[in-house]
Amino acid sequence: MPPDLLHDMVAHIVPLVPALPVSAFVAILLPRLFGCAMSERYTYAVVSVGVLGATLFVGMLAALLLAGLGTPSVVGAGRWFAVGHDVFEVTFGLDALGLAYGGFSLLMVALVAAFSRRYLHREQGFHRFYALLMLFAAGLALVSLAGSLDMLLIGWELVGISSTLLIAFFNQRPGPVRNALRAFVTYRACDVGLVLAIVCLHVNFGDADFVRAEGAAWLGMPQRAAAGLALLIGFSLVFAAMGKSAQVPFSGWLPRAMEGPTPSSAIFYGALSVHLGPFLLLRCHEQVHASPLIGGALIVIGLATTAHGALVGRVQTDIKSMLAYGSVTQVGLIMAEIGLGLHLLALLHIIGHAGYRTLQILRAPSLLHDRHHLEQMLGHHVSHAADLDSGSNRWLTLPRVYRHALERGGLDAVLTDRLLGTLLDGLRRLDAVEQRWSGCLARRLLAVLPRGRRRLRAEEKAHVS
Amino acid sequence: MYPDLMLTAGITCAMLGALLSVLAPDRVVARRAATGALATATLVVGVGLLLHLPERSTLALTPELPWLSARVIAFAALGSGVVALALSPVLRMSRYDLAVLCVLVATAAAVPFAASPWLVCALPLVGFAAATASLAYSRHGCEAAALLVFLPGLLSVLAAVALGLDTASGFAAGLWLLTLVAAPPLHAWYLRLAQALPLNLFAGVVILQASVLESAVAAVPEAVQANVSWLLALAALINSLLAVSQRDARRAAACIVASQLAVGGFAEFSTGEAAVVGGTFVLLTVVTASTGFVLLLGALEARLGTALSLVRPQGCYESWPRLANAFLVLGLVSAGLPLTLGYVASDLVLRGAFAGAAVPTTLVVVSGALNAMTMMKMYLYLFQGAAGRAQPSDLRPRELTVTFGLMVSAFAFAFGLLPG
Repeated sequence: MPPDLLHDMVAHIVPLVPALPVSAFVAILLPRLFGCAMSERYTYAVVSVGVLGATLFVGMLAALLLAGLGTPSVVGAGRWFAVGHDVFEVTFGLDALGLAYGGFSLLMVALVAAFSRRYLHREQGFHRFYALLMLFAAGLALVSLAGSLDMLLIGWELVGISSTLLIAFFNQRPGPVRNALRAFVTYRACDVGLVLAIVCLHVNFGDADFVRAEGAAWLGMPQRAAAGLALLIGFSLVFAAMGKSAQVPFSGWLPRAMEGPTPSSAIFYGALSVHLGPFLLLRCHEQVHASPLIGGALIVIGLATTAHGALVGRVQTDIKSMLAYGSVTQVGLIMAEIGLGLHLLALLHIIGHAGYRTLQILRAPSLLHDRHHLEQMLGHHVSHAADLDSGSNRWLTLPRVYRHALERGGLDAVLTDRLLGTLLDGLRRLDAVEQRWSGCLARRLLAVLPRGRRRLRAEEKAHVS
Repeated sequence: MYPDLMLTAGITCAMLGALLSVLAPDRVVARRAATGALATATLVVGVGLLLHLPERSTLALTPELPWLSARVIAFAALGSGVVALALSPVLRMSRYDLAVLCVLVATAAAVPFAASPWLVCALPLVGFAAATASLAYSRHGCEAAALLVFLPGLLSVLAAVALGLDTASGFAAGLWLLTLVAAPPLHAWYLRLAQALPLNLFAGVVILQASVLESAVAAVPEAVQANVSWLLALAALINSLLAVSQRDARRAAACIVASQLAVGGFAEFSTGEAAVVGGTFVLLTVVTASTGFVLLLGALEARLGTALSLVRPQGCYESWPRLANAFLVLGLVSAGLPLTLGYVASDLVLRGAFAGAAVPTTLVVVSGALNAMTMMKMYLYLFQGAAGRAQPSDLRPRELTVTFGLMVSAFAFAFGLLPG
């Protein structure tokens, strides 16, 4: 096949991968906006077409790459907007990393979509769940196949929004709603890092495109910055990854996010969303290794998160929290692997962990049933492997360690009560002062008018009486 | 020439709407007449814009930019005015309120075409005088707020007079602009206004503010522009911090809008080409999406009949799915959701302004993130929760149509209609 024809074919196929889930999202939401109640069957059919179509296209692209018909490259799909030298090019990156993560992600979304059909049957938010799942799939496709950090940011944000709205899925209880807000606040706070990194790259080098370096296994961001700027960009990217992947000290939102429906918990916080931080750092590995300081910081953060997750996870009393801390532990390890430069191991770890954790979370609601089934088969009671006084957990019985684990390391208290709480208190005091002085000024102004004076007198009388 | 004629006709139609609503026998007829007049005005200005769009379709920093951006802002202002009228609750908006809304929108459409900096400063006085009159006339106990609201109008005149004096012009114009965008500590009037006025009228004030900012560069002397730009970035951050801490939805919305207006002003004063164009997009986002979410907040308030609190989740998504979804979409567009007008705006501003002013641009990035957090908090706390199923009705067809139109236009501006 002529290379030009192949390139054209690829350029036409790639945009369809995120476009299909987006179309499914619109097809589910639009009729409902105008009051048309569509059946569950319609929604499921639309989702099937969207996800399976996208998966098929990723498979085709991967096959083309594997067959040696194409090399890892960035494919342009047009221009969104341009002002002078500032151009937003819509580009997609085709390489082993993107296609592996994208293909795996879409496959997992398809599996979870199939699982949820019965799990959420006749649930009030059935259509809402699938619409948000499609938004998530589109976000993942954009992140995996992005040809630049600008494109990656779009997918990154879509994943954050869909995650937030799914945490608040059971919206009649205040708990999930508050937890959704907490997750969103963490996402947005850490996204500042990604936005700043992109802006720095644009201002200094004119673009934030991925390219394939000599001898590199996949596309990445070339390291062109001087030492100071490289540190700023590197740490900004690490900061962005920390929020999305619930690294210490931002890990508190993850167990709370498990209040969403089980299928979304499985795919977001067991499998895909929580691994986007490591994926970003794999894409920008040259920035991570631009300075030993950044790599070292990443190792420290990763190992601290691993220790925190392992310790806190052991004292959790519900299965979903325990699994959430299990995810935190493993993602911490993956971060440390990236810090050590073990990129291929990190990728394999991501895929292995994602598959295994998803299965665990999907089975979590049936845990008691499974246990009873096992005991019936064995004919005797099965002892709890995680009893505190057994084997490796014995050191947890130390009061200080146990309390530390139970309080989740005190991270939540420091972040929400002391840091955020103090800031909000200060702002509210400032606001109260503003209200007081403007009220006082308004009363003085009011006293100037005859009608105002009458009104003030009436208010005083009412106050006295 | 034809676009200018059509624009004049459009503004005249809007003023006619004000007259018709005052003369109408009751509120329903007044609303119909005013909406019809403003819709006609929007159509006329829109056709005038479209006739000349093919030859001037790119928003680059060329001599064409002021021509195109002024017309687009005028068109968006009139269009949002139609939405504000169509969403106005009959029971809460008197005929005079409707007339004031028409005057605000007509002034907003006229300001970008002011022939001199003096007029740019003086024209908003008409709008603020109208808002003040509305407060003083129809809202008992709001005379004081009305006097506070008159403050920016008074400053407008002072700034206009001072523009003729070399020594005072920079200071006066800077003070005027900072008061106009409600930069703390000069924001008291704005928050009082947001609390006292019906939100539809408040939306009219927001439209006017955005429109004035579009032309503000001409009114502020070059010597103080850099300082004003710094102060605007700081104002954006402080307002967004205040928004996060609010417990009252009206005050939170006002703080968000003030923060976005400050970002728009900051971009307009920037030296980067992309930032200046981005500034126009920010103001366009404010006129369409931010106005839209403020109006939907008003629609929710009118349905519940109480002040909206952000202390705990107290909504009922199942009773108002359309209202909730529309609020979320417009709120996220306003906060810069990817693939929307807000995203284009913030992307251009950041790319264009960072090289010349790294620290203020970083403040703007942080303020954008904080605004998005507040927006999501408003959505979650007002539309999700355990309020029970027996809640008032969802958006009616008339309301849904105009809201959907606003959403479509916000996306249309982002895709192909304007970007080069």
